[in-house]
Amino acid sequence: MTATDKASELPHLTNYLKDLYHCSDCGYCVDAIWEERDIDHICATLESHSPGLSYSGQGYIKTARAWVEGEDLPLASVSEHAFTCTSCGNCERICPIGMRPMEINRALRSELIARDLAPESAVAIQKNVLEQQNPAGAPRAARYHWAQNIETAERAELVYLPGCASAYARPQEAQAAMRLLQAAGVPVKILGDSDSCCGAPLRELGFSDDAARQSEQLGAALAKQSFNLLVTSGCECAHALANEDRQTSFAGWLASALTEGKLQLAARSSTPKVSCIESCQATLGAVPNDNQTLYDILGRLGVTVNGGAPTSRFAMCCGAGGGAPAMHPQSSTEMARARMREATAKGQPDAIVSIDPRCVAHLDAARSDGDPPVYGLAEFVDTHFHLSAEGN
Amino acid sequence: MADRHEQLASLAGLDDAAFFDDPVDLITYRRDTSSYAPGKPEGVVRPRSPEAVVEIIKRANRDKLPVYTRGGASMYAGGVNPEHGGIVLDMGGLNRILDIDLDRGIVLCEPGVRFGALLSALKPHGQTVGLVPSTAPTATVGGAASAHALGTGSPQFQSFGDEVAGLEVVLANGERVQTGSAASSHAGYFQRYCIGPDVTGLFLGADGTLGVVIAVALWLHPLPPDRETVCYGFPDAGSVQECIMEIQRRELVNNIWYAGAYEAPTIQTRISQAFPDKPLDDLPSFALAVDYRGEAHHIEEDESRIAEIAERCGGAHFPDFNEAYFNKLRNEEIYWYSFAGFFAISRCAILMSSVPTDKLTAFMDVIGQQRKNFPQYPLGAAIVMCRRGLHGGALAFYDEASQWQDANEAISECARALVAAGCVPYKSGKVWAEQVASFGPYSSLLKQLKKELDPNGILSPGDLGLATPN
Repeated sequence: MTATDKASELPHLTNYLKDLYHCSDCGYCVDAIWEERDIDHICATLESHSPGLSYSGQGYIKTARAWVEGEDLPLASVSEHAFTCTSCGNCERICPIGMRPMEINRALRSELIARDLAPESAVAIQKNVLEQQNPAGAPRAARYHWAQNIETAERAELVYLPGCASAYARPQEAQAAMRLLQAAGVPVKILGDSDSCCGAPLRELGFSDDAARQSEQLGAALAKQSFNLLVTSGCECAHALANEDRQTSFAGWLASALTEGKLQLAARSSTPKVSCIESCQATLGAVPNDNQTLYDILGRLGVTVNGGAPTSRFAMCCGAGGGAPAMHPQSSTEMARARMREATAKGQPDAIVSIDPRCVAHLDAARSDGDPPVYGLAEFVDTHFHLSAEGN
Repeated sequence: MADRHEQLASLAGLDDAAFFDDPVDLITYRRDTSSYAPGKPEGVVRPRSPEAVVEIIKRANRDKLPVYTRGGASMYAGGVNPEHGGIVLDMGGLNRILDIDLDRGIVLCEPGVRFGALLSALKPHGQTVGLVPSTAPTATVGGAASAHALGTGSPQFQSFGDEVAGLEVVLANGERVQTGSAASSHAGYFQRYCIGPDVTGLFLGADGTLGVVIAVALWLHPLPPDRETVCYGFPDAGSVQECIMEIQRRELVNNIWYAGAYEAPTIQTRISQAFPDKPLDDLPSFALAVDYRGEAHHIEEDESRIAEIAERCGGAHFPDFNEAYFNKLRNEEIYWYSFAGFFAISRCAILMSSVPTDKLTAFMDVIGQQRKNFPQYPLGAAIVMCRRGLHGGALAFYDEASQWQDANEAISECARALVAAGCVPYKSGKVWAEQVASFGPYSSLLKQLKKELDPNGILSPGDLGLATPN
């Protein structure tokens, strides 16, 4: 049970050797239940794709260890397992000793990519990002079609970055975000043709070099702009741009605008009752947890939230991340359905709200007849409230 | 007889059970959280109904295919490690709470119910169960029954087995047997000791060697309304031993949900972390930490008596340790993390033994000797007070990449030394197999029972030193 010479052939995994030998199989990342910590199973892949434990964080660690120990593993199967994770990060949040199963799985993916063993659907996402600057492969030229009828400023101090999900899959969110920004009297500019994918989808998939280049490319485009505030709608973009200290999420901006009185909101009719679905990406890394910001904003607006306010750090993934909708459409849809069932279990809400446009698009696609509408935060506010600037 | 491939294929076709034989799927079923050598499963079956379990066992018995029953695999004795190959029977899919009978004071569960789920389900009824292991978020009720769980509740209720009112078990021939009062099909579960000998006990702590548990009936207890943690410091192991013996003699345990003894290194670490400016020289060498739960006035009375006993034994209240560590551990329920916390520094081999209270000092002497014999492993002791006697854990911290084999040798030597000192195996699994097999007539009786109940030796072969497959 020791690392062999094989380890040197696995450079991505050797970064994690300590974790591979330290994981103690406690099973918290598999299927823990702990009411006081708001934990009730944590792995959407185990719940909706397969109950086989090798699809869990623990499974990825054990698989990685077996590989570095020189076991003759069927790599096609390793690939099938590794490219099923949705990258929600719950396994890392719950680990009591700080292991990094999600990162280890990404390293597994990188090793498989280096051996041309990534699934075709993952390679297609890579190609889409590199060629069209978005994971879905929509034409790059269409990135700002949503903004065709929206006036933007050339010399504004605020840059709005919709991210791929808002730009293509959920343009309503980008349009609503612009309306709210402008309603607050803030001149807004957009990157237009120089905008590009931040690389987050590639990073999730293990295309780490390409992801880094994408991030640099977007960073270079931003460096050519003069601005003092960058507002992002995409939660994975916010995570990827965490080092940009002028960045804030749309939810963060809205909370500040309301606190500072820059934006006045009045309900169009009776305030709706909503359920919220948390964004996993908002709980990763150094970015502020905007899931809580969402609850704070809704509370401030007098919106009733089904099941009360507190958000779980371990909420189950809706299946939108990690390339799951493209690679495993059936199980990722089931994950979304499971989250919708959970969101409506305590009574039928008028709407479901999430801060993450990628989740919103995925959940909306999984809706059945009778399910409530799903909104991004900006859409929800824009739809249900009259907007006006300070003093109006 | 069908070859192994055909045997496994027949399990793959079962209704109401998932089957895995992909090598990557099997990787995660090789071991539990122990340092014991991983096994090599040839297949995994995850039944979703008791009927599926019956069918799996029947086919495995027909084909003489080893079956290792697995719950949360959070045990540290290697019981679920499939060292003779065969299949792992993953009971995680049998996770329904079948009945909460407040009139009889019984909760009936399928074996894959996690303690976390059970406690949540009982809470609205103002109820709980007597024994909750420190692995509760992931541990299963079936695993606790099969492997002698301990932890919260041990001072009041002793062992998990003592809280089992009855079981339903699938025997190696596929027959379903209900034990205790439920043996009479009209009666259901309400008493364990009736009809004849305690058949329930055959399957408790048996690590799945005599049958596969498919339902567990547990006694319910009201959730205590009040709680308080108190710590007492002692100059040495002998004085804390005297104190615990007196507490047990006077049965002042009825409002103690948990009590643990902590040695000097733990005390010093916790105090220095919480109070960096405090001098460590005059700290007690031992601490007894008590988690009282019950009616406030009962807690007050018991605490007052135990404080007197502690003082008579040379101890004194030790509020710093309570504030620095124990109160937080218990009141914030991070004791469930404390299990995992053992592993914060490195992987950890744990050997649990039953220790007569009058042998606490002998237990500590063994730990001390092992520290000298194996200075390369930081060795720790974990002591839990029971209604009678103690549970003593020897913990060896090791680097699994380079010290795994040596660490297991150290644990084996520790096991031999503990038995020689008057301690006995607890959570036996495979780590204690050598010692269990050495207990002459007891071991012989166990083997006869095994031969009668599992003539093909398919159930968890190797556990408790029992038969390898025929």
